[in-house]
Amino acid sequence: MMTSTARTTGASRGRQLPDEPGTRGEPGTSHRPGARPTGGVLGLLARTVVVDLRSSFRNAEFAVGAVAVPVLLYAMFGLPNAASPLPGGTRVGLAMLVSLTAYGVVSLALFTFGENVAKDRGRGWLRTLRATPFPTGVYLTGTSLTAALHALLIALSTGLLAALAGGVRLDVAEWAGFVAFMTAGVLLFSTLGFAIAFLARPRAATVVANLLFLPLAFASGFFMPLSELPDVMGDVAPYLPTFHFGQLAYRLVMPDTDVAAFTGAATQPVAVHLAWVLGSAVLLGAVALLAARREAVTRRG
Amino acid sequence: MVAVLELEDVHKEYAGVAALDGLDLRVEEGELVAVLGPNGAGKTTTFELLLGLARPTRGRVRVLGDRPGAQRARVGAMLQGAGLPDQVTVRELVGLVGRAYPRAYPTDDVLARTALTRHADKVVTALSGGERQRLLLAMALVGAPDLLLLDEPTAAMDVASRRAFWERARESVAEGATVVFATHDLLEAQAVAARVVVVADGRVRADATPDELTHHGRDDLEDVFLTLTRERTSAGPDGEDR
Repeated sequence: MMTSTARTTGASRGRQLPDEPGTRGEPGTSHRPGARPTGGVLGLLARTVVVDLRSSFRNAEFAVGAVAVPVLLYAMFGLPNAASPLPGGTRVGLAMLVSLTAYGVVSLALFTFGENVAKDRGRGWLRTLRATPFPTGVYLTGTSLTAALHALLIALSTGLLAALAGGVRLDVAEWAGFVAFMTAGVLLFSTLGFAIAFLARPRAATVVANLLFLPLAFASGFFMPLSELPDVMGDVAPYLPTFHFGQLAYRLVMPDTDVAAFTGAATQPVAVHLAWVLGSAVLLGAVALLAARREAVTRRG
Repeated sequence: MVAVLELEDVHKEYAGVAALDGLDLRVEEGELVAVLGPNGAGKTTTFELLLGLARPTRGRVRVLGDRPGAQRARVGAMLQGAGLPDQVTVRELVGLVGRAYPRAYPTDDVLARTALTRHADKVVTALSGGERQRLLLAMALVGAPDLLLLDEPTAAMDVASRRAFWERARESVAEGATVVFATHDLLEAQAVAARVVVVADGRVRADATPDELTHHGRDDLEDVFLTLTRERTSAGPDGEDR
């Protein structure tokens, strides 16, 4: 058996070269024939977004769940009362447009990040990427930008329905501000989804996202005025970044009196709402980064 | 010859259990090396250390003259049980991973080399086990790497796919790449590799050419392997590789 020329070994093979300057750091530097330069990080990011977009629309559940539901909800609950006026003259159709678009954006942020990133993590795609030069930051930025494009789609399609069938009228600057704000919203709340993705176990992420999303949506007044919900919802609302996001969105296109009348919540200074939204994004982003880092360190021992 | 990867007295413990226990290994440029070992031998842990996905508890690991992970742009890897996104096509995935490397082969060339051209527009979930393995190989090859690390690359492949797979690997070696692969399959190691490193209990038990291991064909490789690894069953206590 193993008694002859085979090196039964606990030591390294004896073909090592002396450490000559310039040799140890430069092994195998030849380029394979036929390989071409690929371009920079921006090209990779753009490709990531394109692949993500195509992939998301191959998934019918996602396309319907994330993009079509806010439009359908608007058709069912926004259009029937669209022409009703609020005390300050705003039509309910506009208020519902803000509510249901905000609902769609927060849903997208939680489920695109919380669920999809957790799934990628659970199925080992992030580990596969870590074995390549693909930067994790490009993956996450690409996912965020894809979510922003989905948010844009939600805002545009819901807005189009509101304008065409609900008689909602805004000037160009207001439309642009509304769409831009909703698109930015998904980026801000992606930090919450990101935190769920890295804090929850991959299989639990969907449950966690659902458990968080429904109370957030109700307590933020996206479905009905807080005055019509149990008192506890109104008590909790001022501590929810989604509530403040909604308040800012309403105030972009509605007077304060109509915001208060529609949401059932007293208005606060814009700075307070902004501080809650931006502060929570920073805090949740930091938590998410720590969780992602903890996972990487744990994996690497 | 220049060392492409070096592991010196490498130890790795997971929750007090030693996955590697003083492993030494040096692979030089242009080699095609099989790392052979039973379940739990430490093959996957070795690959994770080489890729910078895990850190050694003790010891020194160098890849392409640098710390693991620092030269990822020159390394192509196939991980055991590698995860892939569901609704992405073969062409999209290979093109995307190729873009992450500073230089890459054209996607269609890689698909042709890995016999995936006619599956290029299939999404990952529509692939068979063998097609999926070939996709992972395509992703490992597309960046024109100097070093290919393949952890049980031909698992789930049929005979024809295996043969084609190793033809591609040999092409890479002929083009100057170094290939290190882990396998349970003794015959595959013997047929494919110029050098076989037998690992058991987190250590290198033998490091030789297949011919040397079998004493120029006088011994049966399976007997040699069993003697070296003291393996009496096909799986370790937990049935998992470490």
